Amino acid sequence: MYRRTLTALQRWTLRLDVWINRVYPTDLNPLYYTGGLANLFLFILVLSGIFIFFYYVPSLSGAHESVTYLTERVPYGGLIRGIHRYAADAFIIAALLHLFRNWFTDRYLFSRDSPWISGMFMLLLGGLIGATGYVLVWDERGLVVLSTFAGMLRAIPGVGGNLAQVLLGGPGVSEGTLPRVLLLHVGPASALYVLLWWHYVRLRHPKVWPPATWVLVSLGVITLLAALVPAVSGTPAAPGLAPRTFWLDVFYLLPFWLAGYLPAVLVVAAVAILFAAGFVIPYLNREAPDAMGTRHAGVAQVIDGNCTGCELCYYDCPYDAIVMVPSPYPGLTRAAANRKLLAVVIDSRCVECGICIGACPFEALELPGFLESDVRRRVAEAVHA
Amino acid sequence: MSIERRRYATGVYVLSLIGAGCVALIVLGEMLGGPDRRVFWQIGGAALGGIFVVYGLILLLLRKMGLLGPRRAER
Repeated sequence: MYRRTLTALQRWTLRLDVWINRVYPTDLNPLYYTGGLANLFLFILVLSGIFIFFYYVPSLSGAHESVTYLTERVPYGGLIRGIHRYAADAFIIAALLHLFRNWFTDRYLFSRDSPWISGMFMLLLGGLIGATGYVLVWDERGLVVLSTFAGMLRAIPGVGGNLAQVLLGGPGVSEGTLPRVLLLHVGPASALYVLLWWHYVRLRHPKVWPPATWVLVSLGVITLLAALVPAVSGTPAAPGLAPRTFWLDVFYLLPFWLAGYLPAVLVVAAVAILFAAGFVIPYLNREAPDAMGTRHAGVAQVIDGNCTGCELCYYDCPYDAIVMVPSPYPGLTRAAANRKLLAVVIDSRCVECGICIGACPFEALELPGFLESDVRRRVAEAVHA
Repeated sequence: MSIERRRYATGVYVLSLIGAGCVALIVLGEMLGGPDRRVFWQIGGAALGGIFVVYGLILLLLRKMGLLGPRRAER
């Protein structure tokens, strides 16, 4: 059932690709750059965040006032604030599109599990950063988000009470609260870049940045939105007073909205289960080695007498599983006699895909469980059948 | 020039004109904007966003006309 649903979704994703490729040149299809777009929005968030940071005062009496000053008195301050606000939503939208696209097209299995896991951590941190950003404005909505967040923390059995106290800097909202929230906003944002490194480290040609067209259009749309629908603060937070109705951001504040209708412990459990499911997805679908056909072909082996050190396999391996080392001795064939380098396969990274075999013109690589003679035999059997 | 390319070229001209208009609005926003006249900052900001979109679309049309990219190795 799970596999059938994924196959249907994959078919629809590929159909969407074909449809978009009719409108845009293939190398500009925006769906190919969802990860790069998320990275672009993160970059915009960091730059606009640094600007806002210079004006922000993390105190109960100064926070709302400092945000208002930035928005109303600083030249283009409101625009920068709006860019920060809309880039945050755009980041989550791009990240979710990236997640679903890679899930539906099976680009999360085997050696791609580490980008998937790092991506899940980034999503989790992204949610935390977004929610704390709403608290920092310190209006009615911020106070409700903070109170709900503290309530959700308290609902965690055992350590919940202590966690809430650490967040608030005391039993309730105090002067120590906003500096802590600011730390929770800025600290994880820095950690996102460490996670990005983990996200990219195993990919040979990651699309880190979208093409210039999409950089400009994305930046332009966000700037336009920030100017035409400015981000505004609500009534200043007043602890103890009942808040009025206000708008909730569905991308970041959905759990806080749910907490208004369901017990906090249920919301915490739902979020925990959702992310736990996300973390195990790469391992749900793995087939038994015998059912994997050519995937059970063994780690690629270098026939070092044939290797000329040409580096073609090194450049073609999408899993970064081949490194070139100085050749300690000459090869056995004429082509390999004067080689300077030798290819070496890193076993733990090889996914037995066979791409290096196709890349090598010197027959210097093989999959031990799936030799050329096996292929010839299978073709012959298929022809005779 | 094929009809399609002519259509793209017309698009580039129109977008360039819009871009020039955006530049004028940015100048206007910069000259007249102030804490008490924030609407001009908004106009300037919107024009800045507009110019980014316009330049992005011009790049897209030039690419569709075949005047830009992809790199030769990717053709």
